[in-house]
Amino acid sequence: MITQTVSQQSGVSWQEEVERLFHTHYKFMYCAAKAVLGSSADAEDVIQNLLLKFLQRELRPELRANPKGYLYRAAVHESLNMLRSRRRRQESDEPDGFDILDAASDRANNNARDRLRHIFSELKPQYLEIVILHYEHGFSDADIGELLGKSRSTIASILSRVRARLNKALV
Amino acid sequence: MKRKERREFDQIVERYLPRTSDEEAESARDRLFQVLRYRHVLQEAIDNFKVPQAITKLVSLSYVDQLVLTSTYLLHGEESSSLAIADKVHELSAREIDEGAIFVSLDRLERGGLISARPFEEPPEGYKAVLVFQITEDGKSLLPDIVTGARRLVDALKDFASPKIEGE
Repeated sequence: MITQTVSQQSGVSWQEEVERLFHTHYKFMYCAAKAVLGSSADAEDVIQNLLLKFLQRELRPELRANPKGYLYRAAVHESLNMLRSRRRRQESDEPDGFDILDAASDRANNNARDRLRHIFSELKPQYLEIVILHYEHGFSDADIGELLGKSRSTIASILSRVRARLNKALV
Repeated sequence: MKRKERREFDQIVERYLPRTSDEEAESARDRLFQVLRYRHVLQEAIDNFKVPQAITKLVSLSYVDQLVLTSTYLLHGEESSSLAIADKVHELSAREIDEGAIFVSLDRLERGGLISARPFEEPPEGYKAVLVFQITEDGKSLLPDIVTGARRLVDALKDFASPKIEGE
């Protein structure tokens, strides 16, 4: 980068620190973005955009305090924005990268996936963060609470509310 | 929702979520950092970009260039501001030379590395920044060519030498 501000503690520039954090937490962010968007290419775009955004501004204290949680939340929010703008443009997007278990029920599966994306796009970002951690990353309520700085009971109550909505739309 | 129902329902949702293998995530990460490396290389190239040090050998010096280079040499060690150089050029040339052409020539010679410019330490009153020009070693090395060229011209145009000289 053009101006290299060297952080006093570690002797590396903050840009290098951002890159290092992205490198470390890439998979975690990528899985979350892909779970929200349903597409590998979109997930890659989201993380790339995020990295460029993060490299354009000083290292935020929140990122330094809780890098994994902060980057994860950024990935979910950015993906949600993309999902919503895609819906607005009413693009017909074929999700890719799914495990097709039963070829005969492809269409039904795709419909269910589209409905799932649709519900995701209508969820509050804070709720979606929790849903993805639960279903995609298999985190326990306690682990989710720890990562996002919320109590275990809050997580459990949000999950049960969201489950009810998902149940109504999917089953 | 009962515990068993909840588990079944969770399985349904999980089934509709895309799966990501370690290899997929790693290759996506490699692609991102490849892009970033290219970006760094590009940025470094832009940061370090300099106008290449051009002509040290005479490519083409116009008549005005030759006059300006000579004047800068003659004023060497003095306060050779662009105005002083312009005066010297007028002194040397047979005909009036447009000052704009002199300034353009100064710029051209500087970019070519034949003269160098630095701010005048004590600018005259009323001037914010005045540049002082000096001939460089590369510039000096071209002076003999100018002399040779001028001499050949004089020899070739002997017939047009001034009547006064002829009559002597």
